[in-house]
Amino acid sequence: MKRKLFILMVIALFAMQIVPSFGQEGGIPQTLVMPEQIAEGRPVTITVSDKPSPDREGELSLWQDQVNRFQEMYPNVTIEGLELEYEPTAFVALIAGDQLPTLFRSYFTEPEKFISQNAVADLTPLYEASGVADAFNPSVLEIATQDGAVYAIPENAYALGLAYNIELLAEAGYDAPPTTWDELVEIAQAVTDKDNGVAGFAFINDGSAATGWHFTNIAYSFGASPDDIITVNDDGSFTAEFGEGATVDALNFIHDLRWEYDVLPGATLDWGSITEALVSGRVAMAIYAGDQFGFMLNSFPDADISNFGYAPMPAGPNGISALTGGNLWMIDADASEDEREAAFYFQLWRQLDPAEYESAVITQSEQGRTIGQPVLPMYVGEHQEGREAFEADYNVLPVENYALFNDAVKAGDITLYPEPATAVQDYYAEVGVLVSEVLSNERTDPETRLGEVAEEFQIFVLDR
Amino acid sequence: MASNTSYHDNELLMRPRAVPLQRIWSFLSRQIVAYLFLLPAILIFGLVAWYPIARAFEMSFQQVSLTGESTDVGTANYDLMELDPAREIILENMLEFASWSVALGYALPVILAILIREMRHAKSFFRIVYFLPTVVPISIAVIVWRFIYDPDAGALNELLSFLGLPDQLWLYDPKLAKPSLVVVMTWASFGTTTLIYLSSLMEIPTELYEAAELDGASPLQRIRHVTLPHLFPIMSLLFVLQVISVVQVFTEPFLLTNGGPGRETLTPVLHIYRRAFERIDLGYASAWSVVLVVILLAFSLVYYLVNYRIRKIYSD
Repeated sequence: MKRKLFILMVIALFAMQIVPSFGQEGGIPQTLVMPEQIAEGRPVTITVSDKPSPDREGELSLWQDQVNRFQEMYPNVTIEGLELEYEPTAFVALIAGDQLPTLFRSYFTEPEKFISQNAVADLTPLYEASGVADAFNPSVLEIATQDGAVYAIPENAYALGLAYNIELLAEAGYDAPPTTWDELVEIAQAVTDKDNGVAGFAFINDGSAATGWHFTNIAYSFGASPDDIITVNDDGSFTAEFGEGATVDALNFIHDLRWEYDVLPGATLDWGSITEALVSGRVAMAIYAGDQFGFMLNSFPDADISNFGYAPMPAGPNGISALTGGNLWMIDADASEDEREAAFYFQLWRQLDPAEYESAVITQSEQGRTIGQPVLPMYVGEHQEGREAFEADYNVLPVENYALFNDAVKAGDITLYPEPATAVQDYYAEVGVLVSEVLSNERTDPETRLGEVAEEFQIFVLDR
Repeated sequence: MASNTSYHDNELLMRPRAVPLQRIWSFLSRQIVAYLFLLPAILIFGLVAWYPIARAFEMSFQQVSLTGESTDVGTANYDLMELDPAREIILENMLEFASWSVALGYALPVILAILIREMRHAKSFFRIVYFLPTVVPISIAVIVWRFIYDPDAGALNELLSFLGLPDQLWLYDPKLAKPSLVVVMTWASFGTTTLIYLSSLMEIPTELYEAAELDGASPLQRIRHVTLPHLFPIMSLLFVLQVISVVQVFTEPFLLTNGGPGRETLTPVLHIYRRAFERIDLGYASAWSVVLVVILLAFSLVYYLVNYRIRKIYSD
């Protein structure tokens, strides 16, 4: 299934290059036809996650205005915002306590877990009624699909790349980021200055699932495919294959980065602190998701964001490979038909209505927030073209610094891989711990330990 | 109340053939008010403590579904524990944490309590100073400790470099991670323990010290022969409580090291948490919980027996 997904993804990206950009002239086409009435006019109340907290004033007013406009269009619908953001463990308790919000945001890795617990609604009838499925990048919509039924509304997608500090690299005599892992080692060694707390290269290394996430991208570029990590068998069962092959090579490489080349930071870095390490000049190059530049801009307003570039991941034996991921929205299985309809259209309207999209882009741009992130196209055809053309005038981020990445995506130079087939967060969590073990203990043998972890994962996760 | 009881007892004795139901009713009617007073506490405890305990025991024999029916799987969850590669490491970590905690934190409150008691002035000031860390919420304290332990700009490494010593990776070095966490745990809890020892010390009649002084006992001898024997029962109890709480430690490794580096600070409860809430494998996590309870019960029992013998020898 995932091999199919990968092929679809490549096709979709190429298709976008081939589709002529005639949509740009006429702006963003209206892809979504909103219904006359929602729930046939019956009163309906839905709860929606990710309402911005009061300290994020600009975002909150944007959110509230949008809600008000929707409620004016459909006076029978009441939208209650919840300042609740997705967190895998917290949401387990919400499922058990029957307290999921009607509409909530989650990661690309998560639908399978919710579907297996019968916790989310099948949105296929709504997709069919609205006819919007064609607007989505099919490879992205595939992530929300299981056994032919669609369970989520994808919102954004990214591919991992390499963020780098232009100035630090220039000081060491390099005017371009590395294109291979060997070059990365060379530049990282030149830039590393342990006495002044500067590490040449970093990835998330706190031993959490995010560490496993970054490790998996390195494994991809060392030749592993999602199927080589967790294989989908013909009978629908799964086999953990990550105990051998390219994943072992990748872990050996990490072992060398730490114990032979010594170019990694001493401190542990998580999703947030890796940005802090970049902007404070403590890390020169880091594995980074394109949507983290928005976080960089919002969280470190004093940082000189123009000093950071974004390039494709260095090429390994498998060429340039990048792991993709993103966010999507799901609807509680306990929601009534009326609530499902209201939640579904509210989310689609926020994402696809041209007027909503344009006003959101303008407001965000005025507030200096996150337009121009190097992320993956979510839609296809005229809709995507129209969006890109519109956004170009409102870029807040230094998009010219991301040209290496964006051009490589557009030229199809990057092999985009989805995340492994099943139980992804569990797999990330396990290899995350192992990477931390390799980083802290020189005597850890990557091959033996990876084999043990794969065996445990097979027995405790895949076979259960 | 006492006369009432004896009246009822007498009445019962006079009618030995009373049917069991009547006896139960009579017993209940005597105690009913007391039980009514207990009822709210029983209900709350039942709901938030005893029911979850019983349910965890039941779940340890099930494959648990969060939304549907759970299925019985017999002892499958316990059998799986045999195959868990983390098992040995967790048990080792458990012992090491307990040893570090006893080594670093067991004697400290006793010494402090004795010192405070010996003070002529500012006794209450020091009582408050040592108790202060206890009132800081652990999540806040952890943030402060993260700054202290930070390898790049942390206070502790600043201090080391001021002294001309090399920097240390406090939380990321496999050798230092456990003691570093135990220091945080000790810091957060020794205030309460000190107060308990102090209140026990206050009970010692001053005459005993005066008598010892008259007999020419030095301060150390006074501690050895008066203070410590008096503290022994409470020290013994707190030893068990400390070991039980350290074995169940969760917050510090969860927030400071996430069980790392590698699995160096992976504790039983952190493992249970991960299996339950990350893998949604509540049955297996419950099996671990039950085993943990059994281990702690066994420890408490062995300790009780050993202690009982020691005391017997001591009193003989």
